[in-house]
Amino acid sequence: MTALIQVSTIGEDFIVDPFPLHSLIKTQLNDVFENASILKVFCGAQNDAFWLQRDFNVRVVGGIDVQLVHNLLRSDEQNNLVGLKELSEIYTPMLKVDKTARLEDWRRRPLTAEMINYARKDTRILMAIWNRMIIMVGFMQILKFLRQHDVMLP
Amino acid sequence: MSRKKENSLAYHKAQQILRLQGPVSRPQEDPCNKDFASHAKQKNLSLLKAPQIHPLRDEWELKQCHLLPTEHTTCLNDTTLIFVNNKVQWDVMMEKLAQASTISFDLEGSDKDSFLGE
Repeated sequence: MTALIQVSTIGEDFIVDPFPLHSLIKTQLNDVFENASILKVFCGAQNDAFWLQRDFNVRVVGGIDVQLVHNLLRSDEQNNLVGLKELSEIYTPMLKVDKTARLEDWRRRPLTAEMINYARKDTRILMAIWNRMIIMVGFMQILKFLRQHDVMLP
Repeated sequence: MSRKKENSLAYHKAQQILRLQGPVSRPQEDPCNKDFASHAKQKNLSLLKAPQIHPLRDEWELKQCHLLPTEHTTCLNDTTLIFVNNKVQWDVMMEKLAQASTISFDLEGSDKDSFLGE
């Protein structure tokens, strides 16, 4: 059962308590998740998409998984999946991930400040990782272009 | 003189200077090979030969990427936390999400077996 939903945009972090909002989530969250013009960034999308479908009948259209993007960038043919903590150490080392609250009972209310902070950081860091990936890919494309046109100096 | 023309002239001037300096020495090793990095260091090369494949594979590129600007990497201090547990806050969130081009998403569950393998 989904006990907490976290969503971040560029400027906001939303911590959603699904228990009092279950009917609204079921009827309205699809407006966002089925909208292909809004990119949904996940870490471990398979689990999240399964839970969204199972608990709220929400379908994901236009989502990416930073674990898979990382494997593409690193040419990991083994396709080993790296967790959020490891991804953060690679892409956003300035942001520290603390996974100690992961096994808390997320049904409890009120949530502690530590739990809220943990939950918030999950999607905030996820957004930062994705933004870093965008910058890196753009940089690599520019390098590739310059090399193809032989305009890079030794 | 138009900016485009100026840029074009500057580019061709730079090309002429490069030609006068002679061919650019470029190492032939595989850039993914560790020896290549030491070779580049010996030759004081700041930029490396193009790899044949696009994906990020050498530590030099990774290091360069980490030196890139971080203005788009937002931290907790730059964002607003909104705890959503009623319809008013829900409507605020939905309005914000509808305007967003990108959102990141996660959830926490109560059935531990489902997320222990994260």
